[in-house]
Amino acid sequence: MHTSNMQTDSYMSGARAIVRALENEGVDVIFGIPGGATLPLYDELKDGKIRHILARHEQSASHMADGYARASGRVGVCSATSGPGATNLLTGVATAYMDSSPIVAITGQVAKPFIGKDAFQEIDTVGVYMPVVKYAIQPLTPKEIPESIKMAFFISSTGRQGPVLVDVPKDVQTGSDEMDFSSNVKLKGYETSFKPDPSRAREAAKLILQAQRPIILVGGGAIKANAGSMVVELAEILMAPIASTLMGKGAVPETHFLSVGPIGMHGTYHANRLITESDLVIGIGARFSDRTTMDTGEFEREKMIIGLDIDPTEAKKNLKNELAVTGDVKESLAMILQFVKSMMPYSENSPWIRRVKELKDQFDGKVFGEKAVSPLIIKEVRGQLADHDIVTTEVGQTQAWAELFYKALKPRTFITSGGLGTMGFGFPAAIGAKVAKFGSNVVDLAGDGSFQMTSNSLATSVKEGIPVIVIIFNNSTLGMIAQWQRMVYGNRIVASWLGESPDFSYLAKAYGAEGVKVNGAEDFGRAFKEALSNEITTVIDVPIPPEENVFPFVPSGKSLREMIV
Amino acid sequence: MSSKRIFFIRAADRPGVLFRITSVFRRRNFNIESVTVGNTNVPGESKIVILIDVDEEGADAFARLVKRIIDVYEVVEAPQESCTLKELTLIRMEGSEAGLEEICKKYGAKLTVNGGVYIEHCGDPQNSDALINELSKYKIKDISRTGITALVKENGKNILRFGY
Ligand SMILES: Cc1ncc(C[n+]2csc(CCOP(=O)(O)OP(=O)(O)O)c2C)c(N)n1
Ligand SMILES: [Mg+2]
Repeated sequence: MHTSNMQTDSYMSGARAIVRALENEGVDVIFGIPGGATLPLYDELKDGKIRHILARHEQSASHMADGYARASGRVGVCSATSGPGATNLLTGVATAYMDSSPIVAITGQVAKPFIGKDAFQEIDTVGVYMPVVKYAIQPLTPKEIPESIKMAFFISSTGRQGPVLVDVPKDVQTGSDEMDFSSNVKLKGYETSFKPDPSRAREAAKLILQAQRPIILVGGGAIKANAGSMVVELAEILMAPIASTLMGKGAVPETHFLSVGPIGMHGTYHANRLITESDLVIGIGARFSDRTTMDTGEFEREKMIIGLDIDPTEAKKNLKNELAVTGDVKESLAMILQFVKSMMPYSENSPWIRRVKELKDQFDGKVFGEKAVSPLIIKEVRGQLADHDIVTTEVGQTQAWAELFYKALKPRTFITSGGLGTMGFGFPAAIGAKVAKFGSNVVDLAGDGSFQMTSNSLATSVKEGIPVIVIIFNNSTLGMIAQWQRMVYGNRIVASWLGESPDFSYLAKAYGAEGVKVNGAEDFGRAFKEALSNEITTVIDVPIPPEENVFPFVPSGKSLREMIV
Repeated sequence: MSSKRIFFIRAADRPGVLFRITSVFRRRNFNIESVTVGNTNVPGESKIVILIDVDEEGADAFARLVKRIIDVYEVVEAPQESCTLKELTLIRMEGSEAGLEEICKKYGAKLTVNGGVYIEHCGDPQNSDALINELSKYKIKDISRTGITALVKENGKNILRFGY
């Protein structure tokens, strides 16, 4: 009973408590689309300080929140109504889950008396989301809201980060109670910072000192831990090459003399060769995914692996010869560095470093196969962008070209869907990234197929004044599918031809954005320069030969030594 | 090598936790043979005991995915041989108790005649199977089994622990 407190400041509706709790977390923006089950929440947003950015499809709203999170390191927030809103939002949440990106998704739910009655727009959102979120919360009384939101942010942003769902029934939003925003989140059994075990770190250092041909492999975890400068320090002491995973691009400047670029299905020729020839892989915030290691038996043959990871459940998950050092990656690295430094410096002229230089000199930036246009475009993009500018990618050949040829120079400037490989991610993620880093240029490297999955975000970009540049590598095909069909399925082309429509420059103009069509790389350079100087969303349509193949390419099931070039 | 393994999962006594855990089995296409849930002496905590036919690699993968669930505190995994197993079986028989007493005695089961004829057996699941098998000669009207619950033996071998 709260009849006597009706006047107090802390007596409010659940909806207002959501907004208050979000403000307490420092949230400045929510990406979403309203609906029946979130109308009370939206009504409160009207008076709050938080900016709402209206998406045109909930999938884009979750990608925007994800892009915001990846660019800034802060939790991104998205929102959708119950039923179809929640299912639309799901793809972006799953994308964030696979890449350990911290977002909080707030969904409306039908009022409690209707739950389980197949009510209008009712789905079991928590049940549907469970496998793709780090945690799911459904407050059942208004009073639980402050703690629910606090817990969501805490879980999302600590330990191995990830998406958290808060599913709020409509009557929990409309109901009122005395709210307490001061409680601290207590979660038994949830450890957020593991102190690395010094004896493990020493063991790792021993392995490092015994190695003749060590190679460092940085993953997305190195970026999240902000461990780049320590990685460089270790590499320079060891004179060891630094390779990366797709997610690790930018952890260390890819122009560093020891950087050899990404390994994996679409890794660089020299990186894949060097990791195959190495006798020790020092993994730093990398989870040794199947796309990175390819055949694991071959990957770890005749070598040892060190795995620094914050998530204890990653230890020895995929590799047998792994020495796992669990804990904050930066702390683990600091311990290892201390041990290594106290021992011996490496020679600057070891056979291994000579081999690294030899391969790198020969293959860095090399384009294999026929005269491909895409690498020229990507190199031009890199040339014109500043170090802190951001690129996002879609999925397909374009993503692979970007992985190979875009040299990321700073953490959080190369944003891509690595784990889920979600087409349609890049454009809304670019919008989210631009919101987080308004002073940076943000460019989406897009395939024509991918762009058509979320191109309606042009409306958001234009109407909300969030200018980004979309470069469409327009090969009129689902290029990566066509490449597999040519190379793995005996040239049997099925359902991968998209055709020449739509005309993307007209599409852009229809939304009030700028649209240009260019001819070749030189023409592109001019158009891109102009786009960068305009403060307006621009789509640049670049024709790419439909038969272009991306090399190197390691077919699935093969090992890294079986690259096709 | 495939064998029966038992998972002991300490988790928050909260809605949805069991669902998340069993989802992991479904994801890996494992068939749960038995699952029991109960409170422990620690308030707010429940213990889930799961019996499953799985090889070592599968068990490892499963334990990781379960440990990743925020509400799960600890996962202990042990081969069946390293555990003490018990199951409760309740049976209602049709007709009279004639001839049942001897069988019950043999299995240490309790026979009660109270309006109907009831048999209660607590023990090794294999014995429950054998008991049911022997009772099948008579008419079984209804039967309910709890599924196994277990404890790791003091001197159990190959116990794996995930958690802190
Ligand atoms: C949502 C989604 N659907 C399907 C796929 C499978 N897929 C992977 S690459 C690709 C083709 C991408 O085409 P496009 O965006 O034009 O890029 P390109 O390969 O031509 O550069 C498809 C369909 C996917 N990754 N994501
Ligand atoms: Mg294409």
